[in-house]
Amino acid sequence: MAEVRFLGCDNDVFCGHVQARATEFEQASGHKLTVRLLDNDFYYANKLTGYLGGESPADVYMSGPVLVWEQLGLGFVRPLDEFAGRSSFDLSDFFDRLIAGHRWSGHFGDGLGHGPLLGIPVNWESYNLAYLPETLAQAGVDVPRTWPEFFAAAKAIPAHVPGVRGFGQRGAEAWHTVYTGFATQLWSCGGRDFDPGGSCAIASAAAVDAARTLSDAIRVAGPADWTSQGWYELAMDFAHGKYGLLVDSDHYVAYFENPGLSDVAGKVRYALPPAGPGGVRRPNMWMWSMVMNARSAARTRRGSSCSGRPAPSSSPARPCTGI
Amino acid sequence: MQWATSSQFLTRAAVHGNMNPTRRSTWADPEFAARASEWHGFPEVAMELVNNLGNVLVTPAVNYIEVARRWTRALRDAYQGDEPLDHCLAAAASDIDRLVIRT
Repeated sequence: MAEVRFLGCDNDVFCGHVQARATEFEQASGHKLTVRLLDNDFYYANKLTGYLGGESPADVYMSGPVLVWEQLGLGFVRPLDEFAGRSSFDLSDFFDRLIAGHRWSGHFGDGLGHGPLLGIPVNWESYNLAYLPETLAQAGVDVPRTWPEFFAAAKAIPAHVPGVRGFGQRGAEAWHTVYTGFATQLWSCGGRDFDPGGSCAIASAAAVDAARTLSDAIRVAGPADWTSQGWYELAMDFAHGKYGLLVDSDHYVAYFENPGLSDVAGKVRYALPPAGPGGVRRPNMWMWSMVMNARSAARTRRGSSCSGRPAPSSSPARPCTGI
Repeated sequence: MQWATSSQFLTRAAVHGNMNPTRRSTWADPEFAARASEWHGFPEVAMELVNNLGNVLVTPAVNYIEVARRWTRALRDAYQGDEPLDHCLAAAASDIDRLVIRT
């Protein structure tokens, strides 16, 4: 029996599901599946060289845009085109944008959508507007359709609804703080990170204006502890009714609509994120993906090749991709 | 990898809260569709985002994490009143132009 090593993080539904069903994989493939889950915050910091290199590297691991770009540069990504092209993979069943978002040449200035396939997405998020109609009604405001309306509505909430802040926003010292709601606001309002010539554009007039609008609104209506707000704290605070508005990961719906975790299940409404000038909406997007480690030793370990190895007679036949 | 990204596996994971599903077949699954239909407006918005509006907006770079961290630090510094916002962002932009790997 060969061993397949999976690396992911805790506090994650997909990784938990892999761990819970490891026996199913082992019975179907005849291989041992070792699941290693690291602390969530540590994992997203992406300092995984010790787990992806060395003598016993993970064979497959979780990653996604931004994270996988770094791992590609470090030599920990094996392109998946040769596997994903097989009909059994049914790549056409995945949403086109999610697959396109995993193709990249590895060169700065080259956009996504072209180049080798770096991962297979297992979930995705974009950034919708989640809101609590009761809170907006108490504050006497309508559902915001534009960013100026969003911040105006947010500022009205703490003035009229005791104990509730206007909007949630990430502020922790982590790379994804600028990625979700803020990037969606910034790009929709004409800003960006780099200009077409490759120069950093975060101090452009549009970018400064967007940042100032956000910063001023946080003081009035955002999280009181903004600089310590990570994604989980943010999601849980909204789920406990502490905000009226939120533009952040839409996959929080799994928390918001779970009565065991949420005080607002069934009460939340969902809409497109606010628009910028001219009605422009440019929501950012992210995916959580499985990546094959280029340093994987699985293909050379004894008995690890799927070809020619019959599945145990008691197991259902299952095609194997070679990992 | 094929096992964990199969339609069967991902649909079961979605029913257990692995959001948002990446396969069209999961959204079409009766159990998942019935559950999602109870979330007011969510499925319709998600389809608009994944089919028409959403994109990875940031500029790919092998060390984008460093870029984003420096940018985040500037926003936090400005919020905490260390320096005016435009100064913080200008300093960060200068740093990022030096640190981003353009290969």
